[in-house]
Amino acid sequence: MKKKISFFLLFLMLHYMNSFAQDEWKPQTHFTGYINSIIEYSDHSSTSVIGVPTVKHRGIGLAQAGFLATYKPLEKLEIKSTLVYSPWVRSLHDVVVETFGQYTFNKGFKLGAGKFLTPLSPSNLYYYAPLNPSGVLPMVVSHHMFFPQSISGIQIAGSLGENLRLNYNATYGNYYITDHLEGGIIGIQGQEEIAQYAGHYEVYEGNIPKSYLGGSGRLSFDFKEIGTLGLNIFEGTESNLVLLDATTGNVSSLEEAKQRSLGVDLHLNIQKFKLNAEYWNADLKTTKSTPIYSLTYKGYYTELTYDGGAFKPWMRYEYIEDAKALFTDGSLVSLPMTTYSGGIAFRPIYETIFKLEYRRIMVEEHQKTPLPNFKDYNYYLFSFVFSF
Amino acid sequence: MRKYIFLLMILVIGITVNAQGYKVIVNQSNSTSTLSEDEISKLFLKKNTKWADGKTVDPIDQVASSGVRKVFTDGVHKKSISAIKSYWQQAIFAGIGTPPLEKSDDDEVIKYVSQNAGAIGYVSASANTSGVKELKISR
Repeated sequence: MKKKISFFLLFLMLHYMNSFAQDEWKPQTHFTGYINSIIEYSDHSSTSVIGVPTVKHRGIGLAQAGFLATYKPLEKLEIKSTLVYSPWVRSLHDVVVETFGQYTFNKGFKLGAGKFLTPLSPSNLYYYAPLNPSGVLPMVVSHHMFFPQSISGIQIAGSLGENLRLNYNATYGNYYITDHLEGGIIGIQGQEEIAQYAGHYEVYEGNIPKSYLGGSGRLSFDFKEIGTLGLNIFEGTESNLVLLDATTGNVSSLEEAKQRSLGVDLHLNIQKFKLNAEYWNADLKTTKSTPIYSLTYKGYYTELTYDGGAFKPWMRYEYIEDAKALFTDGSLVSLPMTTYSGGIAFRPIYETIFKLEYRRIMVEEHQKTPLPNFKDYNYYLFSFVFSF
Repeated sequence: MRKYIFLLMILVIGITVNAQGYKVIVNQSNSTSTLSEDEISKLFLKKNTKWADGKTVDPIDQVASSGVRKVFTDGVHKKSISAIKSYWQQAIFAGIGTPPLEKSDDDEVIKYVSQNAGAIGYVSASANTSGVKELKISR
């Protein structure tokens, strides 16, 4: 009897899938990709806070190269893969940022399996170089402290409505902690505090990251062409937290922990102006240690871009507090930062983009006790992106 | 004097042709007869994906090097071809969608539209559109 029911269900499923396949559908393939080369300079303090080797001041070279392929054998079935190389990738896990297959049952329900870019902040989905006027990602994304770049597992997604649209997305599976992974050539992008301070870092330990289990959820509302409001949650059911020895300052232990991050993002299109803003908060708590330790991270940014056709000037303000040292005696040292950035992107033809930008990284205003070797500094970037 | 009037006529005719150097076509079975430029733009950007009778919209573009694509893109999307390609690049990377298929000339577009019920395409103003239905464009 059970077998009969299974066959019947399988038949129904196949029939249902087949009814969606259009007879005239011709398989479609798309390739796109980019090469991002940069020249960068920073006048940051030459000695790090905790004495680890300092990064360089000048860099020139290939910062990133990405290649994307999609294949749609059926109108409702898409297979997609994106590979991104940068000088800072540690393993193949980092190169394969997304690779999945997704079946669209209807607009309101899509089911996918594979590895996905964590679909929380739109900045994470749009992190590829040709898509952004700035060559540097907002720190809430590049630091990877609120959510991982990718989650490997299953995903359901869909949208309801037309003019006022509700979109949902839920992803569950394994993820790799990346933590303040450096970008660019000299390694300041994504690690603006120069020296890795502490947190739940495995990178700090020089380990290949382990795989953890977690999930993300997002609800967003599109208001016609005017804008989008998104509500996000990431839950890391298995994570970790580094404890530093209160006497020596060295790593004492790596404690199992749980993480919950909540975020809200707003995107407005007003004539030729585009406003992006995000706010994130994360709580990290150990699960097995005695006593229980906890950390809170906070970060936000707001960015305004003007679409002047080939020219796109922009400016951004950011605050982040996600570099924290937690000691065995419960004491905490935090390294919050503010950055002011501005720049212009010029795309004379589709295949070529030039970007010029400046960042001021402010740390001194947040220090209760001045850290002699950690000063405000400047960062300059010139980037050429070739894409196809 | 006659020479100047003749030159003026050519100029006026030239400007008129340039202002509407394309025709938008659909399959003959399509009941739609008039669309605005904004509605056409949304169909080609796949922001609206269904016809009034529930059929799936199947937009067909022309290759980026064709003259009619430039006229169509300027007139309907009010943007450059480069900007539209950037739009699709963003959509592909973000997994939102893929661009319309591209055909190399008017004849191929007409052939495709005549064979596919949900198709919509554009061709040069001088193209022979027998076998397909030409839409009226409201502004």
